[in-house]
Amino acid sequence: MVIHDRSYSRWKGDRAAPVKAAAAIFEAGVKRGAAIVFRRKIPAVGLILVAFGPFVFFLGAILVKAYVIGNAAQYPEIAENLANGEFGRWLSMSGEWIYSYMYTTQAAFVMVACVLIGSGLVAEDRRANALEMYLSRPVSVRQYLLGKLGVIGFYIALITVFPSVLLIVAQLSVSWSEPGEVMRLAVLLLRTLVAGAVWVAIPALTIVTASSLADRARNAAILWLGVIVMLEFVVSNILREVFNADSFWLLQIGFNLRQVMNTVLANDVDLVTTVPVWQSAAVLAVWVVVCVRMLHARVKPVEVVA
Amino acid sequence: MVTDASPILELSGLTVRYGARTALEDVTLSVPGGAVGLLGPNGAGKSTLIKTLLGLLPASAGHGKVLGVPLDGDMTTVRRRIGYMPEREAFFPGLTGFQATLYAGRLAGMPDADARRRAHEMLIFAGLEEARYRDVATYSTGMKQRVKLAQALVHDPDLVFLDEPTNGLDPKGRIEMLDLIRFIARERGIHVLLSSHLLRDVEEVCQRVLVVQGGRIVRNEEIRTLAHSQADAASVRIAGDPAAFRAACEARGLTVLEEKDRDVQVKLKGDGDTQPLFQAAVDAGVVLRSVRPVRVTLEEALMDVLGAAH
Repeated sequence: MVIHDRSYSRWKGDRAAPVKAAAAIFEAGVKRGAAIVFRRKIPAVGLILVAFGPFVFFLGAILVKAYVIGNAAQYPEIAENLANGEFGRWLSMSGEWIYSYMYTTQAAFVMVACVLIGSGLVAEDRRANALEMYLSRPVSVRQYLLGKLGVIGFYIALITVFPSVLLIVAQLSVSWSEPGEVMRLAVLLLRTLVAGAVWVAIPALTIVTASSLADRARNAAILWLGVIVMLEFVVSNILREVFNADSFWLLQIGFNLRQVMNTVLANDVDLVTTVPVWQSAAVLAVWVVVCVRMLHARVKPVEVVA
Repeated sequence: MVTDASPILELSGLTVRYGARTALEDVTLSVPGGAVGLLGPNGAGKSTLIKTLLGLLPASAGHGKVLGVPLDGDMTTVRRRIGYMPEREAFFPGLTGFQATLYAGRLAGMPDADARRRAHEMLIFAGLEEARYRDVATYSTGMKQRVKLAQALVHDPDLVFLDEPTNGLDPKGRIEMLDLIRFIARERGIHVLLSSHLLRDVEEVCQRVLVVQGGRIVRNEEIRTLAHSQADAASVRIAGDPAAFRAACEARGLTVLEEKDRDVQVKLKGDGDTQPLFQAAVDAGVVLRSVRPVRVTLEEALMDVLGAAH
């Protein structure tokens, strides 16, 4: 006996409500990214432990330092060491420290995230003819790309910017009694967010662009890694040696990122180069423009072969 | 807002070019609504027309309106009221039938709770109740067609474009798919534009047909007027000598159109008076076994139309 109507019924919802297509694409992409990472559970857990290990260590160290200094009467030698010693000073967050954490420590995990999650974002949609499905709905190309960039941006930020911000917030929470320190950390927080935005945007844009150029995630990953490796380790070094010109550093995306991030973080880091920072920033801007143009050229609902 | 009386499609001089190739040329039409068939041979421009109406392809010239919204206007708004089932295999990768249909609803602007409820309803409606939690990539061709239909309907559109919905379906699946389409068109008042190269599909579901040939709309009319009974001709089966019957017909001023064994098609005089046929039978000494009006099937009418368009 049929106890409810199983035929087609009309929907009486609000048809004028704004469409949050980019948010829907972002949400679905983040879930799919997690599913890809956890396809093999043990390696996934191992990867996450290694990726967040430094964060957990530093968080613990900051809290222990605050506790020990706060109870200096009980641990006078350790407290003195932590307050004025080299390790103690190192634990006081600085631009160099943030750079070291976000870029040097986490770069490998950013690459893993790009290859595992980012490479399939558009390529798999192209392979399944899903672009036609997206763009025949109230979804613009811009919303689609924002959603997809948001997915890989979220995962890169999750392993770089979020932990950095949390560590600064942890440091802030134990520094309320020192107004000068609070101000320094607030400025550092702002600088970290800007540097983090650059560090998230460039890998996200380049991997999504590579993904749009392929019909399989694997091919997109190979393309992306190939371009990075060639520019970073082969072409730039060879041209620099042959022509003895520092300008060829600009071919390295990593070099440009290092220059810009260190400048934003106000770090006095000697990069052994005469290349001015503005040139690195300009090259990154060119990368952004080229990627955006390529994405708009590749993400189309209909492939027209004239 | 489109009222029942206003046309769902209005096109004027619409032309679409791919480089040097013209896919649609000077298409001018007005479609009042209901279930409309889009018929034509492969490569005639059916899919191009649908994609242009969805705003996926830009028009090179001309203009038009879909549900009252200009094609060069904000098509993302009108797409909330349109469902689309593409011809080729297309799905959101890595999702189950339920997740894909829910996702389609979310992308169309539905709140999560509503999209969930509708996704279940549409999958049950499309006959995928048991398989809705399986990855779409594992579905058979017929199941993929059904999930595409569910995704096209999940946001309850006012107009749905179905591009070759029975492609790859077995006979039972085809009948079930056409039943679903007929139901939403006739019982739920959703306008349907059904693109197909299969005449039977269009004949079974639609009231109106657009015939496309070489990028042009060569016919836009009700099916009942395209596939019709030819009032001034009769199909006659006789018992006796066909040659004598032919001679008797011609002696009485009737024209024999076709003769095959004992089946003869005769063009009648004036208002379709059959009396001369019986007199010719008496003259020839033959017996009339049956006299029926000549019925022009949609297939014959279409062949005439396409032949004339060449």
